[in-house]
Amino acid sequence: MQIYLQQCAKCHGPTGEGISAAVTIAGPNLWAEDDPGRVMTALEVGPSHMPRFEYILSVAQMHAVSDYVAHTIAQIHLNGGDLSRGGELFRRNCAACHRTAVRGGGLVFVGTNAPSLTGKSAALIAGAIRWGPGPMPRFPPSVLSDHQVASIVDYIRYVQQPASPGGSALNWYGPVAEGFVAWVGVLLMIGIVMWIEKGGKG
Amino acid sequence: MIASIARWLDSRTRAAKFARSIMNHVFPDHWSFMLGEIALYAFVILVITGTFMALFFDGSSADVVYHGSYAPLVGVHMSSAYQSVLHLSFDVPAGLVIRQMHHWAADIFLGAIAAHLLRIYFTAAYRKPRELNWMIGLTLLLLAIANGFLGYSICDDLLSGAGLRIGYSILLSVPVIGPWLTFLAFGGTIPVSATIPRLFAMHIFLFPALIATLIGAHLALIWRQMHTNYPGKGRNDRVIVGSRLWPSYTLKSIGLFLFVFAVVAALGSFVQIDPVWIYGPFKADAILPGAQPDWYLGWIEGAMRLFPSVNTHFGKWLIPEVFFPGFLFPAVVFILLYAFPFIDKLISLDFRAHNVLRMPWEQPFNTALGCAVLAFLSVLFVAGGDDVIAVAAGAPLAWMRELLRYLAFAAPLLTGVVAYAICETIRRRRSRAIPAQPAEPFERSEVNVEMR
Ligand code: HEC
Ligand code: HEC
Repeated sequence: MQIYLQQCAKCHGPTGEGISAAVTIAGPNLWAEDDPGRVMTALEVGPSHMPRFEYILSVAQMHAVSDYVAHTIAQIHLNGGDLSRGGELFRRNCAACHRTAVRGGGLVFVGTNAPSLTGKSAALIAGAIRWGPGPMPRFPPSVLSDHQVASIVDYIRYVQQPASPGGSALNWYGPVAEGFVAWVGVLLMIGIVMWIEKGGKG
Repeated sequence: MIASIARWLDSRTRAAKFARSIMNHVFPDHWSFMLGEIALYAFVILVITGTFMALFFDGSSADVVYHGSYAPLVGVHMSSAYQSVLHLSFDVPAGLVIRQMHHWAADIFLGAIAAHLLRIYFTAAYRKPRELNWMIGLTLLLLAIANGFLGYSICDDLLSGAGLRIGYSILLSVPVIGPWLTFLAFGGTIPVSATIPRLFAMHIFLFPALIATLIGAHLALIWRQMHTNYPGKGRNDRVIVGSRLWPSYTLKSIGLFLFVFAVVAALGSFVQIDPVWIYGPFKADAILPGAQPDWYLGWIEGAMRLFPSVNTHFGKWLIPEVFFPGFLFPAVVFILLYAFPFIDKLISLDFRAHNVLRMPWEQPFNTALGCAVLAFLSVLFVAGGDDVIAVAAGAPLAWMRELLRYLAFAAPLLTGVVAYAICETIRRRRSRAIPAQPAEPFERSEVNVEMR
């Protein structure tokens, strides 16, 4: 507890709620980090901007902090999500800002963009749902149950994993990107026509 | 063997003479004369792939539960139409590639029509005697835009549902007759079960039939009036220089068809288009940002985004804001386009028939006007995707939209002036080099033919 407040709170917030991703060295929400082993690994590895606590804390202290995070701070338990239920919930609750393809979108009214959700860990997504960083709304347990959160997380991680069928997805920018590609096709064909009219030479 | 069959046929039908005259029909050679042909072949591909898809598509909005092979949608309620599109995409052999080819062919069909239109405009090929064919071409463009919209709307996914609602609102905003128009097209207040079957019937019967008929008329008129030609040595309004329909032109044209098919097939295989499974089924309570129409409607979408939000009151009647950018603006654009051959007569005071084209620099005003309109439409087109571009470029959207509003005025002016200046320079340089030849008076559309 004491170690957490001293070492971790400045980045992850006193109750593990996290700091808005808009800040450069922002620690994400920790409410779904319910596995002491995983927290321990994070302390040893020091992901991205987080320091490696191997050199700062003793092993016993690291274990104490991990247990504290996993048992006191963590409150979301992710298990057995339902993929298609998650898809429906995502489209209804999240797609309006993060786009159906989870690639992020523009929020006119606050002047920030909802970030892309590709490559985010399950715990980070679950934490963000409950905590609501920045302008994002909060979804407390009365709105989305743990099972529903797990379903949404499953869906978000599914959509980015298997290569989407049908070829290059153009980063899922949608019809705008498709339109540009179509025009490349048209210009290519105009080039072909010019080549044909030159008698197919050079 | 072949010769004896041909003789047998000829002795019964007397077709040989007729066939020979057809085969000797002359087409001038220039790459810009084949743009319309790209569109024609895209249409052929659309019909072929569309026929295949019609075997599997179920144009009904009956509520069903999905049990196909796309895991994240299993057990989800959706319309039968959307389910059949998923079935086609994931469970029918070659279904997805055919579907993607169809969509790419549609985007390219419209691109080729637009390129063809620009060629006709900038070389003044719409002049007498070809005003009628210009109007047929414009009608084809309108029908193609409408049918493209119908085509992606009947998939009944979340993205097209958003588009459908916009189309519905635009139609509804038309003063007085709006409600009747929407009931005719959509069968009620959407979402309503009559919509998809109605749009489907229009998409696969009514509009393709109209398009095919008008393409026939378009080509027949080109045949009857002969093709235009660029100015050059030995060419005038009475003499046409080019290659014969058979063999040279036919072979060239078959080659082009194969190339168009190859490009469409490559796009259909390697680039995803309209991934409806990502968008999910249409639900009236769900929405997605970054929603755009296909490119050929982007300019109308952009106009709606840039247009200020003003509601006009006429006494007790209200004209909603979408009417102006969504209906009136495209209507005015097309009316001006239809009228342009006649407007051009007033500009140039030239009422004669022409078979030789006017080069862009010989008509600086028309060229400048065309460039300005093109710049305006391009700004609108960009505005139609401004949210996606803002996210991709990391620029604030509100700021970008303000900039585009200014650009919508500045870009056409600037482009017009620059185009005019360039045309004038070229014209002056050329007229110094070759003294202008007096044009021969020419009234009828029959021409002599000179073959290579
Ligand atoms: C300098 C700021 C900073 C401090 C101090 C800090 N963290 Fe972090 N932490 C981060 C950042 C940034 C990430 C996100 C890494 C990423 O994006 O994968 C993170 C991620 C984590 C994760 C999730 C790892 C994963 O990928 O699942 C855990 C668990 C964690 N921190 C625990 C702690 C604990 C416990 C402490 C205190 C001993 C602590 N952090 C101190 C910045 C910090
Ligand atoms: C009102 C729009 C809105 C909605 C609805 C919304 N979000 Fe967000 N979300 C945002 C914004 C804006 C941010 C960036 C916050 C910041 O500045 O850190 C964000 C951040 C996130 C992050 C953190 C990303 C990171 O890199 O730290 C995750 C994960 C996330 N959202 C998931 C979701 C999920 C899942 C849902 C649906 C349950 C959802 N969001 C609904 C607007 C939204």
